[in-house]
Amino acid sequence: MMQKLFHRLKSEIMLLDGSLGAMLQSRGLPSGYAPDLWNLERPEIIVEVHREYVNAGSNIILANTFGSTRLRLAEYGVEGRLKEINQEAVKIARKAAGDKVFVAGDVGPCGATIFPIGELSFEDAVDIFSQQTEVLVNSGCDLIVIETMFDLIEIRAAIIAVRRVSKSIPIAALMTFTQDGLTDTGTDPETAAVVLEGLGVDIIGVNCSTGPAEMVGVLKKMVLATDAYICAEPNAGLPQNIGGRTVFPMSAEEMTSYAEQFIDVGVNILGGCCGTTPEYIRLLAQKIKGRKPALRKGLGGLKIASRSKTVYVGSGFPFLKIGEKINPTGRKALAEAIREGRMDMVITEARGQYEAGAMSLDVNVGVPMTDEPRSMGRAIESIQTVVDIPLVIDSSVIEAIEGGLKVYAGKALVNSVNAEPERMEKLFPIIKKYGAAVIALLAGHEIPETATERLKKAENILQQALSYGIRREDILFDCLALTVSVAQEASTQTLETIRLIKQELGCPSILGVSNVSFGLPNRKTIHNTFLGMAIGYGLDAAIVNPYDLDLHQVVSAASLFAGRDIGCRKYIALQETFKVGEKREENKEGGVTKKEVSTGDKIFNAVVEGDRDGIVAYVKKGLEEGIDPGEIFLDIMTPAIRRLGNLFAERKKFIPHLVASAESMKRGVDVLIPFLEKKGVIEKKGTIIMATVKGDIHDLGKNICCMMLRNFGFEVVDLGKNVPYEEILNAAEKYHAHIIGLSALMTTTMLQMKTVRDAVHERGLPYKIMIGGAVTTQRFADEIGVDGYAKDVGEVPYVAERLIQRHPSVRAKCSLDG
Amino acid sequence: MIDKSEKVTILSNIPFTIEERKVLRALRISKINLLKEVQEDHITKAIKDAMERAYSLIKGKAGYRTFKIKEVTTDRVIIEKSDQLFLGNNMARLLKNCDYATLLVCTIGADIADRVEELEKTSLTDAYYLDRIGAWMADYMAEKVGRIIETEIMKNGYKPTFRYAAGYGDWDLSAQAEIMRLTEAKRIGVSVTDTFIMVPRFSVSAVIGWERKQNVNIKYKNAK
Repeated sequence: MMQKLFHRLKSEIMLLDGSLGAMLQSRGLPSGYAPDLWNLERPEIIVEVHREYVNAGSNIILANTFGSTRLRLAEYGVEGRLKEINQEAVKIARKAAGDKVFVAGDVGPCGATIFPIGELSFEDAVDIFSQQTEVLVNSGCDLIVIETMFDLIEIRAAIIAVRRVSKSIPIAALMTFTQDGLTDTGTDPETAAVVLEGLGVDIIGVNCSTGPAEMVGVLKKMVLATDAYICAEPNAGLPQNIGGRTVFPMSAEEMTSYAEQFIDVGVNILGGCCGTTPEYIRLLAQKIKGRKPALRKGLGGLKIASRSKTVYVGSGFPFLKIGEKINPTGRKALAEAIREGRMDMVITEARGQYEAGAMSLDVNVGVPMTDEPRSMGRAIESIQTVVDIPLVIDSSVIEAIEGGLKVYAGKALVNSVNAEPERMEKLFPIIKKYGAAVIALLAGHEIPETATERLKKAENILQQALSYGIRREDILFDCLALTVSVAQEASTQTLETIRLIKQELGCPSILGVSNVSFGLPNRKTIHNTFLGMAIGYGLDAAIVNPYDLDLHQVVSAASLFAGRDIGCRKYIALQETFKVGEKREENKEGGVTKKEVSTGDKIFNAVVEGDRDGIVAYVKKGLEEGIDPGEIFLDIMTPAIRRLGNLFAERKKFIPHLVASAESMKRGVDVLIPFLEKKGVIEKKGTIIMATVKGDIHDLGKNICCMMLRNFGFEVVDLGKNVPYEEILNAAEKYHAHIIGLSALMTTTMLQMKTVRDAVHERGLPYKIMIGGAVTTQRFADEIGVDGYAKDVGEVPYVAERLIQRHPSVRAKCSLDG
Repeated sequence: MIDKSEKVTILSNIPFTIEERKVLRALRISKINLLKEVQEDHITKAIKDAMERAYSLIKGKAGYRTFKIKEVTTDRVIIEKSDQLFLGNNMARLLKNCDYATLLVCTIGADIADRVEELEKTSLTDAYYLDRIGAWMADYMAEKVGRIIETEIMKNGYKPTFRYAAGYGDWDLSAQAEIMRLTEAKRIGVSVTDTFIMVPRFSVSAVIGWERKQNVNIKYKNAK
């Protein structure tokens, strides 16, 4: 039956059926009732619907088992009837199909989201799918259709489950894409195709979610990445809920008018999903009658993928730079972090390499005496949440490789297998199971000396891999770079091996280049030169240090000569990135920019530019040069912070600048304080009590305001957060405050400000009150009758200066002063 | 389709990207979209450091649950599990044409808030930058999970309402306690204080309604 199906797919476009749920509902299936239960309760209706589709022209019908996993059936309390529900479904479908129509076991989502995004373990998911598909296969269905999947990990669990049950039954794997052309978990069509093809499914496709127009767009991207058969099951347009009923707006004529576009894209199987009926299938049958599938050819070669990005490896594609830094060998801090189960350093290293231009990351977490499979799983989980480039799972421990593959959502590259039979025997089945690609080291117990011997190893590994069902395209040969200071001839053999692998086997190659320069000075020059040469010989990928800027230049330049950068675009783009920063120096606003910069200017600039690290040294230098501390504070720093305030008011600088500058000034003032106190230079402008009101437990903003106010010469008493009004008033009295500054972040706590204001007024106290914080507004300030409102941290010192001028004691002093 | 069991869906390890442009907006730096356009190297570096720090501290999790709406009055929306959750005229207006409502809670975890507190002791600048990134990323998670819910809503033929949160309009913040209970928020490590502030503080809760579409021109009707 399998051969018959593939034979027909080569020469004709086949037809699936349409929606089953709608048909059953129109025959009385109650809303919210499990359709699968009708296999047992109303088999005559199921067979009738199947027959309608067969009569309409369906070549493949789906058994009524979409929701027949134990988790889904458990929602209706009928999980104990899983076997009979699935068995009967296939039996019923077969009855309607006869011997000319294929019967597919239909597998939908299992009913829970799978780890690491969800809580269901991968093993449990495989077990749940196995339980259902075992019954379907044993009941005699001709193929399995896995459909309406939005998570790559779940569809992979389903595929692995089917293959656990049967090595040969054809599998169609269909994902569902939203209107933005991605699955709910962010996978694009190309990546879905790459991952599904890697898993060895026979038919790849799309169903549900969107109408035919959107689906054609998705398929156009999908076919670029795969040569597998393609299946499409569009909805009859996007659903609408009208009067409590879900309806699909496209008529049969309208939906089937897209048939020509589906054929042009290259579909092999066409059907309908939600909202379609036998009428749609009948019209589709007319449209495709006598049509042959379009000839198409996806981009060949090795493809690896993350959940949301595909990278092609091989001749004509960009050279693949794999970051080598997630490796605890010789790195104590990283090893310790991994030992403690902390993934922060792994994430930092992943991000760093990604930012530095790595196109993929090698992940090795091999720390002696640790649970490496667990560490690998956790590392992969963590890394794939923060970068979207494909990962290389690197370990000598087979279980660690499997630990990583289980949680990885894309198509990983495994590092590595070698020519040792035992390693191949253990690793190849895992590579096959999880649909990964693999790096093959051209060595067994010993490294062959000559290129010809290495080629023989490659042929041996390739033959073994093929016998496990691994595709030739999924092997990347490591031609072994040896240390040039030890064996100079070996490097020549490595280069020749690269050439032979490409010429004789047509496979891509990879090197780890850092080894080549051991023992010699100026190592970077050596391994970058070797890398450039290897690219010239046809090398496709390397595991490298992406932080090395020269490496990117060498790869970029060598790629020009190797035909990997058509139009020199990438090379030119790279040169542009190296220019970044050169112009910034010319455009700085606010600081002193003359060429000869005095220490005073440096202090001024450090405040304006928020140079928190530099200011302490500049202030100390200024003091050493004999600049008066009072002059530094009053004539340099204070004008600097006011200059920044002006730039802020002009919207040329922003709050982050204010905060950094305020902290710079604070650090500088901390150096000056002992000198200023000794000289009695600073007269405080007034005393301010600062508090975040009762009930509010966040006070970062208030703390920044305190810093600003101190920089502007106020004495600040900071009471902290969640402060009751009595405590505020007591402090104001104790410190003879002029102003009370209040902060609130919540609508529920901001009324505490009114409580303080009312208490001050009722008791006739002399304090001015200013407020601020995320939820406060000028209007609120006016309503509760406080004296000042600062809309942001930039306004705080100016509002305080205004209020202090209005304070009775200051006004009295002014009038006495005359 | 609609989950009739009204069970809570939990999502963990939610992938994320911290976009420079969004961070600059969260820091209220206007007019520029890339960090390299910031003129001051010290500030560029501090923001970049905060972003990288955030990558290793953020653990995106979410829980959501959909409820069938039983009744909508002028100031109250009643669901099977609670008649004390959706209170207020605004809420009644929001959900008046809805058959279902999905409650959502998401968080980026406690690590980032803890780190902000630590940083406050040594550098208010670093603390502030990380705090703003945390606040933005909590919204980002809500947006991301919101999109998943909205897709589910549209798949079922409904139109999603906008996201609406307790504390806005006349939906009292005290609803947070009920939201936490119904979404089993403790499973993702989120709770509320006595004053209804979420802990960890970089967390977001909201409701999205499933609104029936009005006046749609349907050429062919058939129920799924």
